Amino acid sequence: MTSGSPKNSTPRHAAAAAFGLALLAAALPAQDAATERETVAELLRVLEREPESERTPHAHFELGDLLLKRGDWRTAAEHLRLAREGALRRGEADGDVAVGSLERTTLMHRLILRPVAGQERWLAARSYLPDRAGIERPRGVATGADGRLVVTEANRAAILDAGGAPSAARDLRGAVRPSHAAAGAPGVIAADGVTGIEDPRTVAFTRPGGGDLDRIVAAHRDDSGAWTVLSRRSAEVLRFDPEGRPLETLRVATMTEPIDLAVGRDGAIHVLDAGARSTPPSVLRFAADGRFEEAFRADWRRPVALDVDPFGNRYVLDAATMQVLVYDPAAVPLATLGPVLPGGRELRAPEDVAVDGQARIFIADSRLGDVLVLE
Amino acid sequence: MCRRILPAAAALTILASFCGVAAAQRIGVQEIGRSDLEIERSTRLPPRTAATLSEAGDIYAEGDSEGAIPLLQDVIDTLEPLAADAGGDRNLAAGDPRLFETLRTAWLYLAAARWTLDDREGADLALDRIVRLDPLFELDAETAGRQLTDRLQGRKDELVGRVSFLVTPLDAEIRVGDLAFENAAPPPEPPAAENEAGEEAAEDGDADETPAGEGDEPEPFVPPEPAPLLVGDYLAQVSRPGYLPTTAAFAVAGGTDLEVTVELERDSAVVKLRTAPTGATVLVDGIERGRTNGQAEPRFRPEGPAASHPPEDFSRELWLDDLPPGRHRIEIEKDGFRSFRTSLQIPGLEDYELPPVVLERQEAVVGLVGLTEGASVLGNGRTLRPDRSKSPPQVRLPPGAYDLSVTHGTLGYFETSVVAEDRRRIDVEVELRPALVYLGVFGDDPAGVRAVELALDALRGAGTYTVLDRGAEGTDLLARLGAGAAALRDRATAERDLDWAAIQREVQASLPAALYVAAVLNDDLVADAADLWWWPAVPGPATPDVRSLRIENRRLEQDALQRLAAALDPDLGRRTPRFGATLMDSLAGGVPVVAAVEAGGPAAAAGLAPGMEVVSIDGRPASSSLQLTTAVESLEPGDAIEIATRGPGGAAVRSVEPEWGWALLDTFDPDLLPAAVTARLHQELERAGDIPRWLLELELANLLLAAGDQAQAVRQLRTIEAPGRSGLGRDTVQYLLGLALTVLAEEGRDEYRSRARAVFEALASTERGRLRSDAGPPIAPRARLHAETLAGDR
Repeated sequence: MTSGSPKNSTPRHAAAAAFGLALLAAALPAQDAATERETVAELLRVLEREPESERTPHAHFELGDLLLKRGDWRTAAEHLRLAREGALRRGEADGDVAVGSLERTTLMHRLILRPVAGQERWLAARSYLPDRAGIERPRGVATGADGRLVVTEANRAAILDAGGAPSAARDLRGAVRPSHAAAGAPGVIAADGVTGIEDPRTVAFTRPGGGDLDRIVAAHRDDSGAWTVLSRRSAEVLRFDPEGRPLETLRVATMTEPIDLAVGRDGAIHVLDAGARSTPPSVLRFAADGRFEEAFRADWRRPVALDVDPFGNRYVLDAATMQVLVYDPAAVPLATLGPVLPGGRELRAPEDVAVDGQARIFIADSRLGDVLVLE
Repeated sequence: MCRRILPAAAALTILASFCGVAAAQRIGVQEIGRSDLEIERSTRLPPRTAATLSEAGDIYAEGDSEGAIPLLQDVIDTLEPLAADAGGDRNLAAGDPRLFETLRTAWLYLAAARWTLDDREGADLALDRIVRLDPLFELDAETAGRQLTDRLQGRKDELVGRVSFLVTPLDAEIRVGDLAFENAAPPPEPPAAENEAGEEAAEDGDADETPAGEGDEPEPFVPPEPAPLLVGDYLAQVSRPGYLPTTAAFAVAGGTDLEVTVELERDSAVVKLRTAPTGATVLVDGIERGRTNGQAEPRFRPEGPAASHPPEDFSRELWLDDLPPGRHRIEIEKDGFRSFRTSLQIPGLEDYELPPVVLERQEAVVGLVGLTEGASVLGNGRTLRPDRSKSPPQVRLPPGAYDLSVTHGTLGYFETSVVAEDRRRIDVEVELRPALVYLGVFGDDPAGVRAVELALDALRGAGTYTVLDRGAEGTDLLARLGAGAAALRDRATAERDLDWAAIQREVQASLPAALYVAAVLNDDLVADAADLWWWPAVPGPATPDVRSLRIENRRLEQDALQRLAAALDPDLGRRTPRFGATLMDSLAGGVPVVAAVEAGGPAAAAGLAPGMEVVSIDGRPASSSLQLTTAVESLEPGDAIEIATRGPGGAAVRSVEPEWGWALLDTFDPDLLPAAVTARLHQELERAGDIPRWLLELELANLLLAAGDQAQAVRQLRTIEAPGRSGLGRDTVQYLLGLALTVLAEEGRDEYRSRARAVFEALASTERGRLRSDAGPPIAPRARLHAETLAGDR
């Protein structure tokens, strides 16, 4: 299922708070170039003109993250190493910087270094859903910003913490699939909107022409609380303010039946269009400002779910072939996983896919009654 | 005796009165009056006496001789006791000539008045008194009148005779009472074939005082005039060193000339000598016999070995007598000079003249081993000039105790105490250490002051600096420069507002050193903390470093003090290991993974490659890249580190021996004392040791940058000629230059923005340069980021 990207915004917010500056803007996808330059200048100032302090690991982390986003992974690796080591030296192994840095270096290891070393990116799959979560036929999965995983079935939703243990659950009639929140509590898409698991309040969305939006199939809440939503009512991507009031509508002529969406770290909106008889399925990408950028399609038979990793790689779940197909930002295929996964586990009825900040792939398989994680 | 007393002004008055000229009378009165003015200032003459004499003169001039007599007698009665108190008429004439002349004038008026009243006996009594007062006194017959002139001469013929002394030897001293007389005996005729002998005498520097180079013919002898003496019996004392003194009795009869002949008997030899300098003590056979003094006569010219010595340095001649024939030991001594000793053989009872004696100064030699070129040397505060042609360089000193100090700019200071002995050489090993001048403590709490002074011992104990206590003058100097207690206690304001560059210059000019420290107690009554203000010799960071230390148990906190002492010796030219690979943690493998490997680096040489997972480090299971960082930090040169890996190529254990390269000091290290670092850098720059000059200059620029002195940092960076090398080097210099220009641009000097950007853009593709150390972060990525931020500004 879609959940957008693991934006891991909490460390960013913590860092921004620590700096008391505009670092939040640096972490946000839609920031303009001037703000980013300002952020870079401030980070360099901390690293080069200030004595070592609690700000130093933060600055290394922010700079490493920025460089990673720009593709300079070697320099990013050095900054992320310094960030993590700085945090560890300060006894903050569980802090945002140490954890965030580790997540990113793991991501680099998996997606960059393993291929460089001639290894597969994902080496094995294992069961991830514990019985205690109370989910028997998982149909939806989404990763949380803080390593939490949201799993849904028809009438129940559960949250697994970063270690895979259930931390919250709620019986919820008519649960469609998880919604993702870049910050704050995860939610679940229900018939009348998006409702929380820990906080049961529901956000309903008002259609641009009036009336409540229904038949929602995917939703994403960004750092500012604004929503990006797909509904089977129209072949459009809708944007709403935090209270569910309509902001704008994104549409392209080729989009016929959007069924999932994911929002990347750069703010780009990726939409899985199931297509129609005359229109094959495709994945479309809109820039953060809503501008349509590109679409690609492949020989998918019944694509049902989409997610995107921090590098912008797209993960498409084809329920018919029981495969997860991975494409890089230029739509070049990177991997095909399934139906027999590395390590020997075989998919039976995969219904949703999610990718976390480490590029671990989570697959909800209703017939297996499990969520498998590919590492 | 040959003194002549000429007719005095009063005689003119007599002349006028005898001629009866009114104008002359008037002149005479004025002359006396004018004398009065001087008398009042210069003699014991009672003022009214002069007025009385003047009045008597007027009365006499008006023809009333009888009326003048009581006044004149009154004057005489007043003055005669004073004359008697003077110890005799001659003493009166010499000691109080005005009183003498007034008395004589009074007697002369009286003689004239008596004469005009035809009182011959009274006039003679007065004239007799005049002759006794002044046997040489004469009246001019044309002006004073023949009668009175003749009468005076008659009295002199009766009361005065003349005497001449003919004494052998010629240079004997002749005295009658307290009067000295000249010898009228002619010098002996030179022998017939005497030309050669005369020349020899001159060459020998004989006692004859004829100056060299004068005419060949001696001046003809002109005997002195016989000396007048009042009629009576006399004793003449005649003496001369080397002769038995003699007393000759003679009687003087009025109007006659008498010759007194005396021949002294020789009884010892005489040795004459002079010394340069004067003031030397002369001992003969161990007994002190005299001391040279005075200055040689202008015509004295030293001869022989002393010929080149300035004549004015020599004393007058000292005569040593009572020397019997035989061998005598002569010693001449003076403090600070080497003693002169000689043995003198005296064959007979004659005069002997020693050649002029030049005393040599006592001198010790101090060899200064290791004295550097350009160092200056002080001895007891005076500048000494070492003879650098000697090895080791030497200074020559009068014997004594010396506090020697050697300074060589910021290179160092050395001081020691030596006792120098005459004719001895002491070699001193000069160990230059930079000078740390303690400028004193501001604050009156005695316990606080004591705590600060005790802290100096800790700094001395560090052995890095020669600690010089200049407390008294230092606080005065700082106070004069506006950096007194009140100013420094307001630390922030003082750091910001005081003209530290000027203070540094002034202090350095007065008290040259490499490093300075002044202390400020936080309270005058009960201080519990002290601020230590540090700054280096210029050029260096313009703002002092301030370290606050608590006072605990009457001492500055010891831990902080020890850190300060250690900070005085920063590790310049620090070396750091370069592993040559970046590890990063990964949850995917559960162990650190090799992220990047520098081509040609130690890790690459050991076979490490990106993507390898590190299983263990030095035999311990690896869980984090921090393990490797810590292990590398603790390495010593030559150590290797064992890395067990898995991944491409299978499992392997690889030994990586890091390369060691330069590292800059961490300017953010709280224990770093930039002032001390600057001082040491200047010292190293002067010393030209093992650390490359460019690296020292780079350190200095880095300090300036950290201290916020960007302009000075830019100037410094532009002078550095660093090599293009992997690690620190030319690229690092350029990067710091870019940083400094960036800060200047941020401070509002926008003209530097484009320059900074150009510097960073030029570095954006460098592959060799690194920051902070040879193992530090690569420069290119940072430079690209800086260029980007500068491109976007404005």
